Amino acid sequence: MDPLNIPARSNLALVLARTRFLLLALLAVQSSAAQQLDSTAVDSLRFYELADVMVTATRGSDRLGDLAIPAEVLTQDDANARGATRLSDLLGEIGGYTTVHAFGTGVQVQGLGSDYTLILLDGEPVIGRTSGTLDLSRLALHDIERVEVIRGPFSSLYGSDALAGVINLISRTPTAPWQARASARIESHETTHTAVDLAMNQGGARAGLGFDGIRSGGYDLDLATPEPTTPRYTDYTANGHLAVPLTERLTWRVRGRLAQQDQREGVNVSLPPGSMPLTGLGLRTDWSAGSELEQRFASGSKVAVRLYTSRFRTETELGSVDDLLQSRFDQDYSKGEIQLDALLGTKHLVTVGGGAILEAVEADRLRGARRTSSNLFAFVQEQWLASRLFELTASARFDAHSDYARRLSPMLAALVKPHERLRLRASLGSGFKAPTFQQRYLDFTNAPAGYSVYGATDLLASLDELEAQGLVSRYESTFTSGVALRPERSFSVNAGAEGAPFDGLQVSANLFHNTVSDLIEIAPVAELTNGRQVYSYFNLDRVQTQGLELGATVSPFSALSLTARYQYLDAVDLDALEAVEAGTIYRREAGRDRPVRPSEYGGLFQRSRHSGSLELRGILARPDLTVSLRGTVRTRYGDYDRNGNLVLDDASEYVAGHALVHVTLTHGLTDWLTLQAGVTNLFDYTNPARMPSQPGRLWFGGLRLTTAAD
Amino acid sequence: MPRSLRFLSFALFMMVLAACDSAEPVIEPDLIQAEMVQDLPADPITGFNPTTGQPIGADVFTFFSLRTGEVVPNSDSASTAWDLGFKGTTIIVNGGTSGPGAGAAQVVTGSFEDLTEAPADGYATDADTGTAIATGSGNGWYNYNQPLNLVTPIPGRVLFIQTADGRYAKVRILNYYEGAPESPDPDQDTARYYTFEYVFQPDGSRTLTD
Repeated sequence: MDPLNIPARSNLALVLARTRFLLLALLAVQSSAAQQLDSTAVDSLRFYELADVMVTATRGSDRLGDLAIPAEVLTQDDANARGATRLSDLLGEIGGYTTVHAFGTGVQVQGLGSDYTLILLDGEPVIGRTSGTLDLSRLALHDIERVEVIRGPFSSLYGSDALAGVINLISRTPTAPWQARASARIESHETTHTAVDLAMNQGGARAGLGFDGIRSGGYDLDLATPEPTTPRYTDYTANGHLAVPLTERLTWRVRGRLAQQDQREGVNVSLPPGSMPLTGLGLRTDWSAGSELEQRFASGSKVAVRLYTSRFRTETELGSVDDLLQSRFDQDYSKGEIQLDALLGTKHLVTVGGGAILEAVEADRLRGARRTSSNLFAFVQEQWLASRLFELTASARFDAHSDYARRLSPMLAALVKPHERLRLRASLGSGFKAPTFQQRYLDFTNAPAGYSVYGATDLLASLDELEAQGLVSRYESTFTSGVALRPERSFSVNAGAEGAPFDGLQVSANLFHNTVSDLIEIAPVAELTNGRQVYSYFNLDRVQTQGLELGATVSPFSALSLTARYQYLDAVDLDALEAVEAGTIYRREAGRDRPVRPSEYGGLFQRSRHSGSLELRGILARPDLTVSLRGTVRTRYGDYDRNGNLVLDDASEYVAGHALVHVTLTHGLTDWLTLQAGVTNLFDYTNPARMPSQPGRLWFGGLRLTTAAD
Repeated sequence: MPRSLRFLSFALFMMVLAACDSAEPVIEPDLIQAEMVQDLPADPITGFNPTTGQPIGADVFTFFSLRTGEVVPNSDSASTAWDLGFKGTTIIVNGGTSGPGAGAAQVVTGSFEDLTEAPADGYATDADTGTAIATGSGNGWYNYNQPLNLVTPIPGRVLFIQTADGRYAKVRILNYYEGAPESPDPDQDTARYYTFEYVFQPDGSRTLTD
């Protein structure tokens, strides 16, 4: 097909525009929606499969290939072939998404930390971060149809936290009249995992119920430390959804989810005789409920009203019977919003929306029993289908928050399709991350370690109190009062290309550059008469990440595919880099102090310069066997400063580079019974001193039952 | 010049060259040797508060004279016999609110060996608002690594000290743990033991060659 031979440009544009609204229809690949497309449109999609629909990037339904920003979709097949049951399992095996283990499993996108990626479940934010990490192992994949990932700043649509990208988990849409699935498996460390799903689609009404449960014996890699590496726990998730067509064009959807992790069995540590036994308990509960009313109009426009509420609660206890450190965290999030998608003419698709968010937090370590804040927002997006070859998307969002300064977040993205097999993309935008509750309201004293941390909002009040008690011995010279905390903000540029040079080969490349400034860091404020240090949060640092993401999938025939991904990353603290270049940061070598050379500066901690993954997937029809052999590799990365200069510069500060290999075999015994076995970290790579979270080789085996093929 | 003498001077010249080539630095006659102090206790931890778990020491400074190179007994704390006092990560000078002397200090970024002259001005003395050698991680001589619970001297920080009688010295802190382990482990090693080196200029000038 000659890309310049366009039968009826305006007609095609209309069709393309309309497909953007056909969310549910497009999800069913063989639905009538696909047939409504004229043959030209279908042809042009040959290399970008219809199934790869993305709703995250434009808050509407788009084909992945038609997006102007770097995006990808990980499907249920991707998760199933690997045997991944949690989002952390899935992302951790895919190059470009580095999982980091601190207060749970978080993910780095484009070299930015896990607190810069927004996590959504069916388009609504998942709440509950601990020290910035939203633990991805909280998110069970049993009922997830696909995981959409967009990279780059999307505060222009989603507000706070969407600096590095957005990960949106999309629940399964029932297609069969009735379907039931169940799975059970056993894993290393006395772990059992069960999941059950029921789904129905009757007369346009869809409903589903799901349950996912894990019971694990935990493990201890380092017997020298009193606490096990991972304690025993149980974890379950229950979810349900219902979509009812009230009229031909009006649909009501409702969703709910409840998840709980329980470590109440405790950590009972045997210490030398005479010492106090230590216990550690943890209980985490989160739930969410959402309701959406969507009215579609004959013009192709639609309006949706959504209400969403979520709660995240943790209770932990740590210590001995006599000296128990108890801590409680309880977060509420409620949001109401309205979104209008209007097709203006044949070339303009405009989305406008707005709403309000109310948040409340209650915690032992926060000042005041319960703190509340509110956020009003409005956003607008224009998708301009300028021509068959060129599309432009512009969006902006305005956030007015009760606790920090107003933010306007713009984004502009362009897509060029010079050839049916080639897509060129460029985008630039700005994102922001609000100061966390901790950074705003924390009131925490760690007496054994001799320090206190106060949130920025309450710092002055806390210092006044301490001063009234005569406890302040002196202030840090760097401390100046009266500077309000601002949100962290980013500016990003992405430019890339994606193509299918010939059938069976897809390649992509993306260059990225992110600058985040006003990073909120902890810094000393004062010293008390009892020697205690007082810390608070300030807008201090600037970081920059830039690099290249490459991907290639070779599929010489349909039964076999090989996917390779690579990321080159250059991530630096700009202030540290300036200091190194100015020669004011020193290191000690053979008893002498000398300036760190710029070539020795290793950039941000926890970042590998090179990382990548490789997956070989073979699917045999007879016998029904799927083999997934895959590996991840990353070069060395820093963990902590050890030589006192706070920057990464010394060999002792690096964790050695390593490769991990995983294999999963899936065998369909009958139409309704599938067996699966797998090994993660096949060669048992461990590094207890520097990677305590790496448990070594793990195996799993189990079965899946299903009433009908998907 | 007789041939033999000429040969002798040539031989001497070669010997000097050889000395320069060897790994040993050429020893200059006016050298002031850097003195090393090892494991100076700085209010070592004697126990933990049973209710708060906070470490407890005797809450006393260890006083040290840069002039004599010796520890000064606490009974002389009100005298000008000492130049530096150590307690935990806090270092005081004998001046201002800390002592009766003319003590003062400033922290300069640079190499201990290369900074051969004490600054003429810029000194501060201890006051209610803070000590001359600032406390707090990153402010003075150390960084505190919270996840590792580790106190590490900041490389390239030289403490220029004015002694109690107004003479000059420079100090470099090498270690905060007993036995000066190369890679201290806060779980195993005992904190609050200073190992440091210093150069003191007895003639009252600011020259601090080592």
